[in-house]
Amino acid sequence: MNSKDKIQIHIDKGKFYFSSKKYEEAIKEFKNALSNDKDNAEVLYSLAVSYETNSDYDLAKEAYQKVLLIEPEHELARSHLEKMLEK
Amino acid sequence: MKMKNFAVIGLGRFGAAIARFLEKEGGEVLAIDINPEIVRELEHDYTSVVEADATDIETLSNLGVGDVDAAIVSIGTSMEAGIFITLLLKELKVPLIVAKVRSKLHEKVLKKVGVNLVVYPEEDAAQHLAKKLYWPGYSELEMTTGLSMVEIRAPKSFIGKTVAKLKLREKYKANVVAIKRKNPIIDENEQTDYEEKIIAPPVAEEKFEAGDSIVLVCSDDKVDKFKDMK
Repeated sequence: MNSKDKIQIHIDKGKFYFSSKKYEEAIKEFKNALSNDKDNAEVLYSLAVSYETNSDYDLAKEAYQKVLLIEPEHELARSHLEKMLEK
Repeated sequence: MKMKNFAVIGLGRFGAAIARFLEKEGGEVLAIDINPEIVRELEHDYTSVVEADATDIETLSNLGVGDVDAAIVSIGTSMEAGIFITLLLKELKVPLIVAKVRSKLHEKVLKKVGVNLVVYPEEDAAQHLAKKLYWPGYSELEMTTGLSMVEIRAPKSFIGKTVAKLKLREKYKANVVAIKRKNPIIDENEQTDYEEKIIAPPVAEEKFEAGDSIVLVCSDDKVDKFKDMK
C-alpha cells in the first residue's frame, strides 16, 4: 500500500468517526493523515470542524486559520472562523 | 477568554457609540480620530481619546495599538483609508479586526485584506427595529429588568449532564431557553461539516453534548459567571 492510500484510509476513518460523533477518534485519524501530508487543507479543515464540534474552540480557531493560510479562498473555513469569532 | 483592550479608529456616530459601550462594559478603550474638533468634543466622554492619523504605522505603534485584543475600524468617509488602516493593523498583528462597512463590495475588499468581522450598522439597526415592532416585549425585557438573553458555548464541564442535574436555575437564577446542537454531516462534496439543530425548550432530562451552545435568560450580574466557566 502506498502512502497516499494510507493517508486516504485515515481520512475515511476520520470521517466515519466524525459522523458517529466520536470526535476524539476522528481528531486522532485526521492528525495521523496530516503527519504524512501536513499542508493538506482539506484534512486540516476536517480536523478544525472536529475540534469545533468537540468544544475545543481554541484549537479549532487555530486550525481554521491554518487552512486559510494554505488556501485563502477556502470559503467554508472562513465562514466557520467568522462564526466562531462572533461568540 | 474575555477581551479587554480595544482600539476604536474613527469616532463618528458608530465609532463613538461602540467606544462608549465597550468602556461601560469594563473594557480599556483607546479612541482615535484625525479630526481635532471631534476629539475635543469627546475628550470628557472617554478615558483615552487621542487625535492621531491612523494611516501612519509609527503613530499606531506608539499609541500601543499593536497590544490591543481587538480594533474597530469605523471610517465613514473614505473606503481607501479603511483598507489602508486594516493593512497596518494586520502588520501590527492585531488579533481581531472589526470594520464598519456600507456595501457587499466594501465587505469583500476588507475581508480580502484581513478584516475578521464586518458590521452594517444601518442594516443591524433596521433589523432591531423590525423585531421591536413585531415583538414589542423583547427589548423592554432586556432594558428594564436587568435580565439578558445570551448565547454561550456549553462549558466542557456541562457535557454529559442533564439540564436538571446542573441546577442552573437554583445556582445562577438562569433558565435554559434553547440548546443549539451541532449534528455532524458529510456534505455532497464529501466534506465534514455540521448542521445546527435548535432544541427549544429543552426538557429537564436533555443531556448536553460537545459543541452545544446554550441560550439562557439570566440576570445581568450572573452572565459573566457563565462566560468564565470551563
